Amino acid sequence: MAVAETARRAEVVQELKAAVAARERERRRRERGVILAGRVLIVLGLLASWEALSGRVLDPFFVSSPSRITRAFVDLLLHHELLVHAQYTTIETLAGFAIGSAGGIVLAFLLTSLGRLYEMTEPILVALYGIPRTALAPLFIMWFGIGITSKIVIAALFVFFVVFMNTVAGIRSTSPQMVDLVRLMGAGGGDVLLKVVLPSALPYILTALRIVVPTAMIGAIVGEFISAQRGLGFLISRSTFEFSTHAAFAGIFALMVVVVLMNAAIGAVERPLMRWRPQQRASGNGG
Amino acid sequence: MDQRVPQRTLTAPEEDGGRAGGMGPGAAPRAPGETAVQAAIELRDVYRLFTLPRGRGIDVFVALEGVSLRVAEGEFVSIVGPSGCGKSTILNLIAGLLAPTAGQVVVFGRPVRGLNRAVGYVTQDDNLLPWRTTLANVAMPLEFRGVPADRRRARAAALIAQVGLQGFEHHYPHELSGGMRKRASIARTLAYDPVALLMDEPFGPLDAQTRVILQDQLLRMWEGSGRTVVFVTHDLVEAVALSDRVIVMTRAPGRFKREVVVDIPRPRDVFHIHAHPRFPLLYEAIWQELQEELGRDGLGPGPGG
Repeated sequence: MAVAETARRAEVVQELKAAVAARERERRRRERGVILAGRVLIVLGLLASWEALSGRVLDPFFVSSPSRITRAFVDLLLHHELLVHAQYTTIETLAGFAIGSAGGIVLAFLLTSLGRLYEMTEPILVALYGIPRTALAPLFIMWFGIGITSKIVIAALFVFFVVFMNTVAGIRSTSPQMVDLVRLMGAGGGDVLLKVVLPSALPYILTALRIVVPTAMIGAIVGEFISAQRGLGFLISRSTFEFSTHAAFAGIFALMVVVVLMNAAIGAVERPLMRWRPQQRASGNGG
Repeated sequence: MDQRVPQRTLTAPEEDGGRAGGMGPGAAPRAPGETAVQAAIELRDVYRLFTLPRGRGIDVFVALEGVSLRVAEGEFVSIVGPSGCGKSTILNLIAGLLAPTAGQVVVFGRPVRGLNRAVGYVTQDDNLLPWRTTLANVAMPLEFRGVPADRRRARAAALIAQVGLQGFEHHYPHELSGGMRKRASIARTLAYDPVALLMDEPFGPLDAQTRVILQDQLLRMWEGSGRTVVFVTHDLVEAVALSDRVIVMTRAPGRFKREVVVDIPRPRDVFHIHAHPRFPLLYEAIWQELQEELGRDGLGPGPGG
């Protein structure tokens, strides 16, 4: 009797579990669908109103329109080496990003590891950080020429300070008690740096790297605006001079695509490194 | 500036005169006096002062005022006292994380200078590295000692099983409960087999049931190990249940007030420790001493830990 009752309950629980899980899966699937549909509708709505307003309320000479931009984009892609320009800007951005970030991280570890060197140099670094970097860009063109090098240097400069400051903050966030205990367990200076301080600082560093992808691109574009013969910045600036608004917008669209791709790449690198952290799920956001 | 230089003529250490009178004839009094036997851990008239920035000046705060202590090898000693009375400072001095301002700290006959790697330290926070799995955390001290990977894995796995965490070797700390993290942290400390264990309110943040279970586990792992333990706690039941001796400290500046020898025979049953006939007397003796320290100005904790 009791055995039969237990078996019956187990059966009921099994059924309920399956039903609840299925309902939850269905709910999530539907939620993801609603959000995706909403996103598409919003974008389409914005594009449609732009298209509709352009030519009626707004002067297409200044604001162009999605259909003209699409035509310009295809034209640039087929006849005016859009991919070559995009490639230049991408290389400048990536190289500047890599050099500036590496420099920021390495310098942060050096200055905080060597006695009171960070405290000594901090005022100088803060003063340098205060200089609007755009103001320095023409000098870099003068020093490094109008080729790709000057853009890489400018992009690196744009990136450097943000990564540096964040890395210092990350290093500072290391728990002193944790360091004490790990040293008590037998860790040497190198162990502490590599196995405690670096992982503690890593979330800060990765956040900085993520923030800094568009920043690197700003650096590259600023350089191209000042003086260049290639690149999306050059393309946009030339199109604007020629009052070809739709081509300028097409270039901007290409920039957006490049940044989105780079962000996706950073995310792919970040995820396995941050597996140890508790997952912070934005509710309903399917990722 | 209020910089008082510690003077030996201040209050004498009280633990000699303060030993629990008549606390059972069965308890062998572990002499804080001049026995020939080498103590595992010894504090000799230790003073520790801290400086605190205050506006433009500096405040000097006396955390420990002439503290002397002898802990025999294999002994389990608890220290209780009001918040801020310098309990944790004593552990930090023994670990060599702090140096005494005056006096001497001697561990196994050797004055402590710099980090004292003979001891293991378990803190209130588990201090596991959040980016390492249980196994990698427990194996860490062996990694620092250059033990080959397969041997340290084996040793870590054995310790993890010993503290009852098998099946959670590859979990990250955030995937474990507070009690499990504490077990992992104790296993990690035992991985390098320290001769003495310093424990600073290790079970403080845990819920009541988990705490008793871990106390029991700690006792079973300690009994027969010959390991010396200095245990800081606020929980008098815990102090009585675990220790050979309980030392009551005064409020800041911290001095030893009295010690109570816990003459409940081992092995002990921590789950039913209240039922032991000696328990109420011991508890009351400790509580009376402690209450005097808390009573004077309420429960106001002093600065520092």
